[in-house]
Amino acid sequence: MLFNSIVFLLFFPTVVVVDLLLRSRPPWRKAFLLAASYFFYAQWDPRFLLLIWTSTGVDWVVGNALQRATGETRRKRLLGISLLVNLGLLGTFKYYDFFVESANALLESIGFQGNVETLRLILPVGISFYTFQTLSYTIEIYRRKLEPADSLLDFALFVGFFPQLVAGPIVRAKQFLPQVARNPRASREDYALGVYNILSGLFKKVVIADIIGTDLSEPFYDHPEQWGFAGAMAGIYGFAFQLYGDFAGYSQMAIGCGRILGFRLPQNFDNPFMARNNLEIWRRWHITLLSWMRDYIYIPLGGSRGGSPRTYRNIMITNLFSGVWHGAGINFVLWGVVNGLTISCSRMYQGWRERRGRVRRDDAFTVWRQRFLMFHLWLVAMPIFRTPDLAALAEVGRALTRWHSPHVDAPPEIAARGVFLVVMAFVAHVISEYRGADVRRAWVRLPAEAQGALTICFLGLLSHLSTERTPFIYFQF
Amino acid sequence: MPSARAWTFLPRFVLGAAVAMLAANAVADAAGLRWLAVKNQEHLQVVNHFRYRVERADVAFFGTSVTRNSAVPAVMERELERILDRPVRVWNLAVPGATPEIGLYYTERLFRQRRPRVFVLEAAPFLWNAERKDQEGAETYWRWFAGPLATLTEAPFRRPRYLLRGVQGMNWGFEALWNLPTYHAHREAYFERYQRAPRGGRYERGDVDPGWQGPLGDGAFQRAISRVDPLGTSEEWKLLLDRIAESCAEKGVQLLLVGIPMCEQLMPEFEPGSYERHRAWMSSAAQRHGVPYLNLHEDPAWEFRLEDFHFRDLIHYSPRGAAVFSRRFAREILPRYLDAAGAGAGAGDGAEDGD
Repeated sequence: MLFNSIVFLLFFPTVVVVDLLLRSRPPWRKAFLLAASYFFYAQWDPRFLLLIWTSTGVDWVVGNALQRATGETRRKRLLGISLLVNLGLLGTFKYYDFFVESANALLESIGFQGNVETLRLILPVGISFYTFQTLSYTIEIYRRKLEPADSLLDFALFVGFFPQLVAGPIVRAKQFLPQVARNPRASREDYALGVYNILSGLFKKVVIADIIGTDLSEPFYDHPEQWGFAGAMAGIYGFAFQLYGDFAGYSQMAIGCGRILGFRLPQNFDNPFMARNNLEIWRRWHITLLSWMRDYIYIPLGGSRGGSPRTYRNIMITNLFSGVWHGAGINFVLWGVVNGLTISCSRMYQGWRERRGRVRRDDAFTVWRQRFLMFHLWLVAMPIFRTPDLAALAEVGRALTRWHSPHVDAPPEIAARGVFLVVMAFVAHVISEYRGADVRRAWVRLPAEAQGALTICFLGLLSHLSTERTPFIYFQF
Repeated sequence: MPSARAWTFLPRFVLGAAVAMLAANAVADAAGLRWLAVKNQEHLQVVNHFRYRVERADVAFFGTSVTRNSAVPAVMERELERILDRPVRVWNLAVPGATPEIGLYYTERLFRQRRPRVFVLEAAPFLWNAERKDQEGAETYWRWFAGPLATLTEAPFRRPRYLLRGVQGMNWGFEALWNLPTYHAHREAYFERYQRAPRGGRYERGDVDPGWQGPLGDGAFQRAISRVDPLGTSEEWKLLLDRIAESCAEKGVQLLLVGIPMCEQLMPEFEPGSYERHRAWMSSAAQRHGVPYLNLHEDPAWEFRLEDFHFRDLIHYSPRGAAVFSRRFAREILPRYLDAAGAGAGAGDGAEDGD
């Protein structure tokens, strides 16, 4: 069930109304939200509910056992069980075939016959997201920073809460469980901002991501051999905004849905293309994943303690992990390596500036110059993320090196609509950076009737602007 | 108290939304915008198909929602590949609510960029209704919503009143909820898969006939359409059809006029004699241009008669009907014309003569 589908248009208001009716009965309310979440997930494939239940059950038992256990060895073993089960499921469903195919290819390249069978498993939607959520729960209890959930119902709702179940944001137990225990009620402002977030997310998905995808990035990346430099640049720029609109749109809709139900989900994007350096962009893009990586990989590895070589090693490992999290493929590995290298270079450059006593300048010219450079540095990694293999990546490179399309008789056109939307998306980005809070405040102040009427107008406009329903890119992760 | 605020906010929000929907419906109905409704947004897809895709076209279908729903490219491509032992690209460029003017417009655009071997033009009686026109308005509208730049670069922005047509989009909420009882996931998934297949998806054996049989709809709307005279036999239609046929002849494209099988329950709804008049008119048009008129609804040689369960309403095919029609059309009709056209110049291979 997609957020931008007719079924969801019926599902969500029903959930909101029933949720309102059950507010004075917290256990019933939680049970209903959990049932609705499982129903939502089962729309993709009910079989994969078994995986969620396994993950939920194991981490619930492990969490409670960790709380009771006193010996360090026993606690480590319990944490090991949680890691083994969760990462085992994730590894089996997401990475097994990739490793087998890679091993087969390697064996064949050195003259042996690689005939290890792949399992051809379907990747369960959202497995990467809820696995990280449940892992954060057991790790935090292991670190004695979190008490176990009050009940299995609370914990199951934390894992399966439908707005964030399939594509994040990755919510931490310490953020969500206290809310569940409090039986939150949405205020008028929550409703208004919830609707605002849903509409804003829909706009990002339906208009920015889908149309730019249809007009620019798909025509280019599907057939890079047909395009010249201008088309390649349009495709690369287009994909950056498509990816942003797609994922940030989904996250914002999830946050909006959660807010209407009274739950606050963490922010996942903060105008990432306004970042001024490579360290900042990772505090603005997929914030919940990157903070997860920081807290559970980078810092345990030693973080920036222990000198520069160790810091750069930790940065590379964390980014490699981040790349592989996105998918099983050599392109994602390479993407992680490139990100690690660019972040390391940024860090080196900043260190060098500090050593030379350079003062950080915040005048408009410097700020926009840094944003411009940062955005284009970010673009360098985009073709790696988008192309399925190195051959396709090389084809993208060839397109960038030729001035004209090889199809001299009938060269493909660059869609003016897509280019226009890229520009508009950037303008919206800037407005959001500087005036986003004002826009939200103005929306909240509107009478409820006006919000309802504007919502319908907006949905009508979106339905006209949409080209075709495209699955969310991040569902594959 | 939060709950009290919640109970006041939501009803007021819904009230505002309902008023906006009702107003939009009233405006849209009063302005006669039904044919620009959301469900007709295939206009955008067709426009994109022409503008941004570099693809071969061996067979192109054009017509209205009947063709849009019944000619499934992926099914046909698979059948044709099996029979002809070579890949064949099929485009379904039909547009719900298409008028003869839209037909000519898209035909000319298609031939400027691509030259299919076979061009299948829908020739069913209730389609191409001459009363449904305002091609200029439709095109301006779609161009405007296809993007402001497209409008600025392709057409002068002459009629701001068309901006008002945006309100028709608000019909969407009502329409969606109204249609929910007949909504079926199989249907959506089926068309999602098959209509998208030509853009890179693959059609799988055994996926035909998802087994869904929707109840035949009430049909009041279709009955109303079918009663409209003159059933596509006007002088204006004749001129437009003549121009389409001439374009085909000029480009060496085999034109097929195809009377798509109709639901038997619809037949009594036609005005007495009007269907016969349409049939005779279409036959003479075919004779005039020397192109085949395949009346699959009546010709016993084709044995194309479909059952009620092949339709989802009195006019449109169910997924099962679409699969049956597409498979049989690809097996029994297209190969002979593709073979004949293939013997000529190498049309359809992307080596068009351009503008």
